[in-house]
Amino acid sequence: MREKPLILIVDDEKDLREIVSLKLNSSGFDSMVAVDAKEAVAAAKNAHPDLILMDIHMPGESGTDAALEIKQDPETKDIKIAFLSNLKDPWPQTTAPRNDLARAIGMDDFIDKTADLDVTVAKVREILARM
Amino acid sequence: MSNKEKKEVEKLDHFNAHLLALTSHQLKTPMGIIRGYTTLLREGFYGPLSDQVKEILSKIEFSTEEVVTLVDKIIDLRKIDEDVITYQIERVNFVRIAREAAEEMGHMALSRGLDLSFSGPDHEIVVRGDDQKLYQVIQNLIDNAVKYTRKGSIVVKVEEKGNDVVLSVADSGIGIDAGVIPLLFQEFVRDKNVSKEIHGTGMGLYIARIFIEAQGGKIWVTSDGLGAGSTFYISLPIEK
Repeated sequence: MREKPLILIVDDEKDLREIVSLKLNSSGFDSMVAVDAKEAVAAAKNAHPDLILMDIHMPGESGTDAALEIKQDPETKDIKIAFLSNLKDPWPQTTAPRNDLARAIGMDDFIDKTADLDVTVAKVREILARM
Repeated sequence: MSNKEKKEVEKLDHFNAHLLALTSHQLKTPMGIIRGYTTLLREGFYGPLSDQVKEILSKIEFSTEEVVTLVDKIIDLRKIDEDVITYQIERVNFVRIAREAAEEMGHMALSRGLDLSFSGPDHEIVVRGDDQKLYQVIQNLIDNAVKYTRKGSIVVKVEEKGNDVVLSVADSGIGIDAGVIPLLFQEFVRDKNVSKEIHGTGMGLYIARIFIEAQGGKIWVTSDGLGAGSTFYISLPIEK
C-alpha cells in the first residue's frame, strides 16, 4: 500500500515534465516521468502507477497508441489514464468533446495541458477518487 | 483573375490554413511552459517573493492564458470567414454537455475563489446539434463569467421552456452597459468600460453566435448595467 498516490507523467518536453511533477509532488502525490511512449509502457508495467498523465503528440509512437497498449495488457489494464495535451482537435476525424472521446476509447479523462496547474491537480484528485 | 492565378491563391490559402494549425500547437507548448514556470515561481517553488513580484507574475499568467485562447479563436474565425466550418449535427443530450462543461470549468472557478453551481433536469433533453461546438460555446460563456467576476458566484442552469431548452449562465460580475448589449455578439466588439481592465479579444461571443445560429438556436444576454452582473442565454429547439 502506497503512502501517496503515484502519478506517471509522460511528455517529450522536459520542462513540462518538471512543471507538472513539481506541482504534483507539492500537492500530496508522488510522481515519476517517462519521455516517450515506449518508456511509458515499460514504466506502467514496472511501477504500476495509480494514474498516468499521457501526452498525445510525441516523437515515435503516439500517446494514444501507448495508452491503448497499456489498457489492453491484463497486467496494466486497471491503471487509470488521462490524456494531457494542448491539442484542440486531438483526433480531428472525430467529433464530440475531448474528454468524451478519451472515455470512448477506454481512458479516464482528458486534461488540457495549458490549464491552470491548480485545475490540473483538482482533475487528478477527481479522477483518483472515482471508483 | 486567371485560372492559374486562382490556383495560386487557393494554394497559398491552403498553406496559410495549415500553417495556422501548426502554429497553434507549436505556440501552445512554449506558452504552457511560460505559464507553468510562472505559476511555480509565484507559488514560491524557487524561493520567497515580494507581493509586488507575485502580482506581476499573476499578470504574466493571465496574459499567457489569453494568447492560448486567442490562437484557438483565430483558427475558428478563419474557418467562419472562409465558410469551411463543418457541423457534425446529430441527436445529443444537451443536459450532459452543459453539465460536463460546468464541471470542467468548476475547477477553474474554484481556483479563482468563485463558487460555480450547476442545475438541470435528471432526464435527457435531446437537441439536434454538434456536440463539440455546443460544449465550446457553453465553456466560453462560463469562461467569460469567471473572467468578469471578481468575487461571488456563477450559476449555470438548464431548463425546458415550451419547445426549447434554455441554458443560462448568470454571474455576479461587473455587468454590461446597456448601450453595448445590442452589439455584443458582433465581431471585435467589447464593452469599453471593461476592456482596459480585463483582456479579451471580442471574438468569443461572435464565434458563439455563429455556432449557435448555425444549429438553429439563439443566444442573448441580459444585464441590469455596470456592477449588476449579467446573464447569458442560449436556446435550442428540443428534438422530440
